[in-house]
Amino acid sequence: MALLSGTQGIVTLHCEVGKDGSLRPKTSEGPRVLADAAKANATRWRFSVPDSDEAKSMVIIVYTFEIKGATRKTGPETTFAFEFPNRVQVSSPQPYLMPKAAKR
Amino acid sequence: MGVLAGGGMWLKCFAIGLLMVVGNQTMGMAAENDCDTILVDLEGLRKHGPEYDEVVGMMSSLAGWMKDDRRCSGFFGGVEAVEDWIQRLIRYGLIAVAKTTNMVDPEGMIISGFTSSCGARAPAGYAAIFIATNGSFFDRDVRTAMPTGSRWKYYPGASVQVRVILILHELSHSMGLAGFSHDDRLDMNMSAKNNGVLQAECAKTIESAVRMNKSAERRIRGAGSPRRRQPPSMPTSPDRLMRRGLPAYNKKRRYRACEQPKRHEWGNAVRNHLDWLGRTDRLGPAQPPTHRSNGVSPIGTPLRHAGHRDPPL
Repeated sequence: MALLSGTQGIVTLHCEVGKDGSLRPKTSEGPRVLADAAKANATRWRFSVPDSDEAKSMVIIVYTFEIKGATRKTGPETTFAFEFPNRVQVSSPQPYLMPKAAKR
Repeated sequence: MGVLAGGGMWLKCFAIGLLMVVGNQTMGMAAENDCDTILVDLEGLRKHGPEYDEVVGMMSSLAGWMKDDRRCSGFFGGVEAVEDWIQRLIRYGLIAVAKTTNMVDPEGMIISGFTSSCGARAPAGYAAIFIATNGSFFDRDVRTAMPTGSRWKYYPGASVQVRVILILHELSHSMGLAGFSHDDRLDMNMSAKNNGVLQAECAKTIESAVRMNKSAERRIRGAGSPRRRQPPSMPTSPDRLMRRGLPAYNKKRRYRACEQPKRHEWGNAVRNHLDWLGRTDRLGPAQPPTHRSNGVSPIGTPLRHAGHRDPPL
């Protein structure tokens, strides 16, 4: 949806790490359509949790969504790169215009 | 892209295709992104107003129409998926309306709607689905071709059927559905096939939309009818009262809960009423009122006693 509209930008997620290593996004900054996508992605992550009280600590993950490359006829190829410690780079070409035409 | 109509459309479509191919080859190497090649110009781009409300209203209703159509909902991955997708489009504000001009063939072809802002003169991130205010959604004269057997049938624009097909078409593109060609602008047959697919898969949904809109239209028409809106007319002036006669008047206002006067009693009732209104001069000297109470019109008084006879007028 963000790709179709040509939305790109940076989303910062503040997440809580659960005892089971799962992430629970608490707050986010950035375009809403991208923030929701970032949240959906973050909930799929699992961290290894050390045996300490820090298990419930907060982490910050920075997502960068970028539209890059020539448009494609078929579905866009999205690349996903994780840079330690907390940066995620998502790149994809924008799908090109799909018009519906008619005649007067 | 939907089906194009007219003999020269093949050539026009080929021209667009050629431009795109050339565009991809040249721009693709030189630039990171070829969305700078403007194919569609937009005028009056907006996300508000009656036209926008109409589009969003129809999109919001779509899941309801699709609810009983298992084939169509299956094609779209379930009613919930469609509903969620539409709600997100609306929530993120990714639907827009604008007047479109095709830059390749400004005179001949009208783009009724499109998905993806790449190649349209719109700010980045503005919208994902655009519906043209001069396209088949709003303009009756813009015809949409759909395959019927081996031929194409043209449907006039602004009809419920065409509107639903257009919205389904754009949703199919935006959701990237399997079984729906997303590269239909270079191939006329593919484009026609797309409309045919939607017609076949979502026949019940379209039918339901037409039915619901017809009943809503009837309801609105009924409510707006001047006959229904106006209260029943009450002949208060003596002239109108005389002209129309009493029965109609009685039926509507005064005698509803009372005994109806007999025909020979009308004259007296009229006279009494006129007397009450202070207009008896038109009918000569007033008869002594037989039924009267202070401040109450004798018209409403039932004439009950059996031996009563009024003198003829």
